[in-house]
Amino acid sequence: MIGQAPILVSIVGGFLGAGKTTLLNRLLEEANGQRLGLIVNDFGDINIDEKLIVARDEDMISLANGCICCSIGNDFLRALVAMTSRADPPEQIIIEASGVANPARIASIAQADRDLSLQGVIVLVDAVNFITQLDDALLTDTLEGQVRAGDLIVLTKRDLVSTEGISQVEKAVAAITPAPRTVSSAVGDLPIGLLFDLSSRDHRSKGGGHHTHPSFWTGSFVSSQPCNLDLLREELMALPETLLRLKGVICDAEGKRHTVQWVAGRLAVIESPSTVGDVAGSELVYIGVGAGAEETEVRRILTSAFDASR
Amino acid sequence: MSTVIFPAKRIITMNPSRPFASHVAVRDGRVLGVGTLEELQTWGEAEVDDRFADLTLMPGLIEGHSHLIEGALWDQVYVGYYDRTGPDGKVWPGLKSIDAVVARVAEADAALEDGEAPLIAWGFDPIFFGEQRMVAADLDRVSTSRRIGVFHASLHFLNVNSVVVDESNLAASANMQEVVLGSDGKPTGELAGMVGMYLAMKSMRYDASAASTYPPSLWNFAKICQLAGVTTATDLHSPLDDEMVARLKGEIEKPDYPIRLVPAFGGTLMGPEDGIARIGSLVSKSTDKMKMGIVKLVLDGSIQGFTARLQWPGHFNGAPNGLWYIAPDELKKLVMAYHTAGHQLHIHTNGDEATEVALDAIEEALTAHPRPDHRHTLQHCQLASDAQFRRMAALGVGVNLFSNHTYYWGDQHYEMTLGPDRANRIDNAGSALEHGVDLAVHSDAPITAIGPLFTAWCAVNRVTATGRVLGGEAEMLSLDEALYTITMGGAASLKLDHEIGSIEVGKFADFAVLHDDPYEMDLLALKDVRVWGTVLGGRVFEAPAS
Repeated sequence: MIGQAPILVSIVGGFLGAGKTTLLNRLLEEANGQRLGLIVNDFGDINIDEKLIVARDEDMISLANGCICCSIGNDFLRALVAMTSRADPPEQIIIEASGVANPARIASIAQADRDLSLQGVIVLVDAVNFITQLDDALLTDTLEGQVRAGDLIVLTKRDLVSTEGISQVEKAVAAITPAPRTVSSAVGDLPIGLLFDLSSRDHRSKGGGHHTHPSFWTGSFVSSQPCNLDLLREELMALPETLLRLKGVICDAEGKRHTVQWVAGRLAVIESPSTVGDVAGSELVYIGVGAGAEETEVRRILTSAFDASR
Repeated sequence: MSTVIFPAKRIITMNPSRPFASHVAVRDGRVLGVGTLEELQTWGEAEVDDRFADLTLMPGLIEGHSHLIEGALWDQVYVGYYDRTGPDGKVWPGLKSIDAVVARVAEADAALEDGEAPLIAWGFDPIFFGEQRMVAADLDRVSTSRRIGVFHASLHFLNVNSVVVDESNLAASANMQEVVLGSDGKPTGELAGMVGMYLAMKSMRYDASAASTYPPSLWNFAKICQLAGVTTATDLHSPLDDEMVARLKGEIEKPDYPIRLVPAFGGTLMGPEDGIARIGSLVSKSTDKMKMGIVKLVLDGSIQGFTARLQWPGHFNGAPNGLWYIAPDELKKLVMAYHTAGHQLHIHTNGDEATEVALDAIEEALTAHPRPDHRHTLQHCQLASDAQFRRMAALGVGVNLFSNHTYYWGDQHYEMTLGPDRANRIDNAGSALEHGVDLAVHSDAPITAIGPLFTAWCAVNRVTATGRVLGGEAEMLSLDEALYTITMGGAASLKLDHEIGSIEVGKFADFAVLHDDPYEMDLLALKDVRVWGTVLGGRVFEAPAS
C-alpha cells in the first residue's frame, strides 16, 4: 500500500431490518466498473450472481467485475487487514456494521490507518419501525448511538410511511442529534449514487455520474484561484444541512493538486501524486437534497474559500 | 488388559456413595474400581504403582470457560498485576507499577535479536494504577525504533509506542471515539476497542486468535492446564472449520497431549442454518479427547469494561449502559434455532439485563419446543439476582460463574462499576445452589489465569484483593461444594458428567495429583494447594515445576 492513494472507506450502519443488505446489493449491481470491497455480516444475505463469481472460499468471494466481498466471518479486523494488504486492493471499501454495532467504533479504524480514508458513516433508519424500537428500553441507547454516529441518516421504507409518519421519525432523529443530514427513500430506490462515489476515478465527471433523482439537485464550481486549504476547511463547516456530498480536485498556491471528498460534514483532503498537468485550477461538484434553494449559499461559501485576497 | 492400582494418601472421589478412598484401580484408561487394596485386588492381577502414596488425588479439574488464546499469549511478554505461572512452571511476579511494566518490556526488548521484530506484551491492567495511565513516552524509553504494543488484561485495549503512533494516522484524525487523547490533544498511545486490535494486526502483524490453534500455542495451553491440575478444558468460542479441527486433532490426539478439549462453536460466525450444519457435522467427529457439539453465544460485554448490559440503576459511576453483541430479538431467533436443532447453548451474559434477555429467549424456545435435559448454561452471569436464579432453576438452565472476579475486580466493582449492593451480589454461588441450579466456576483464561483451585478459594471466601469480604455467608460455598463445582459441576455444565468429574468406576482415569490435601487445610489457604501434576486416561503427567 505504501505510496498509493488511501482507499476510501464508507461505513453502513443501522439497526436490524433497516435495509443495509438491500443497499449493499444495489451497490454491487451499480459498481460502475469500480473495484469495490464489501465487508458484510453474512454472505447468505447478499445476492451474488453465481455466474460472476471467479473465486470463492470460506470468507471471501471474488467477482468478475473486480469487486470482492468478504464476510466478517471469524474476525472483522482480519477481513479488513486482508483486504487492505492485497496486491490489488479495492478502490473503495464499504463496511456493513452489525445491526447492534455503533458504526463510530468501526469508523475509528478507518481514521487510524494511513492506508484508509474515511469517507463517511451512513446510518439507515427504518422509518416503519424506528419509533417503536426507540421506545423499547432495551434498545433505546443502541439506536441513539447509531444515529449519533451517522454523518448522513437515510430514512428507509419511505414508501410505507405517511408524510406525517416520516415527519415523526425526522423529529425523533433530530431529538437525538442536532441538525442531522437526512435523506428519505424507499428501500428499493435508495439513491446509491448519492451515498457512495461511484464515478470513474480517471476523469472528472460533472454531477459525479449520479443518476438523476427528482428530490436532489446538483451543481459545480470552478476556480482558477489557488486554494488555501485551511480557509477551505473553515469555510466548508458552514455548508447548509441540505448538502450531502461535495468532491473534486483543487490546486493550492504551490501548484499541488489535492482530491477533496466531503460527505455530509466529513472532509477528507488527500494530496494527489501528480502536480498540475493538463488541468489547472480547481473544480468541485456537489449534490444536495431538496429543491436546490441553497445552491446560492453553497456558491457563496465556495467563492469565499477561493478568495485569494483573504 | 493390564491393571494398575494407585495407592494415595487420600483419594477425594466426588462420588457421594464413597467420597473418600485409599486406592484406585485403572484399566484401559478408565477407573476400574475405587476402594481398599483388598477390594481392588478382587479384579485379578494388578501392578501396584505407589508414586502417589504420599499425595492426594482428586478428579481431574475442569476448566469450563477458557480460551486457547491463553496458549498463544505465552509466546509474548506477561506484564500483569498479579503473579502468573507460565507453561514451563516459571512464576512471573505481578508488576505493581508502570515503571515495573516498562522494565519488563525493556528486558524482553534486550533479549530480542531481531531489531525489527515487533514486541508484544499482554495482561497489563491500569485499573490498579489509579489516575496514572501508560503513555507512548513510557514505551519509547524501551525503544524508538521497534514497534511495541502492550495489550491490557481484557485484550480490548492496547498501549503503543511512538513508532506505531507516528506511522498510523492517529495524530491527524480528529474525533476518534476509541483513541485516548492527552491534555495536549494528541494521542497518548492508549487505544480502545477495535482500533488497538486493528493496529496490532496491521502494523505489528499480531493475531493472537489465529496463533492460538497452532501447535506451540496448543502445547502452551495444555501445560498451563496441567500445572493447575486441569484435565479437561474448553475453548469457548471457535469457528471449528475443517482445517482447524484437523489442526487441533493433530496435537490433541497425541498420547502425550495432557488434556481433553471441549471447543464451543461460535454461534454467530455464520447464519444459524449454516452454523447448525457445521456443528451438526462435527458431533460425530468427537473423540474421547475432543468433544464437539456445544454452541457459544455472546450477548453483552464485561462489567469492568463498562460494556455489560445492566438493569436499573446502571453503572455506579454513571457510565452509560453497555453493549449488546447480539440484539435481544436476534438472540431469541438464534436460541430457538440451535435449541430446536438439539444443541446445548452456552450464553455469555455479564449484566443482569443480559441475563434476563437470555432467560426470556430460553423460555420462549422451551415453550415452543420442550426438550428434556437441554442443559443450556449461562456463562459469567455475574450479576444474577435471586429471582433470576429461581428462573434458571425453573427452566433447567445451569450457570458457570466467573467466581474469581470477587478477588481480581471485587474492589473495583464495589467502588466504581456497581457500588456496594451489587458488588456484594456478584457471582452468588450460594444462591445458585440454594435454588438447585447446576453450578460451575471458571477463569475465562486468558482474562484471568487458569486455576480452578484458586477459583474455588474465591467462591469459598469471597475476599477481594484488598481483603474486603463481598456478600454474606450464605453466598460462600463450603469446601465440599467448592470442590464439587470445579469437578462434577464443570462436567455437568458440559454434559460430560457420565465420563469425567469424579473418580468412579467406568469414568476416564483423569486425576489431579496434589501435594496438599484440601481437607486438611485452612479454608483461607485453599488457593495455596500445590499441584504435583495430573493423570489423563491413566497416563501420568508430572508438572515440570515439581
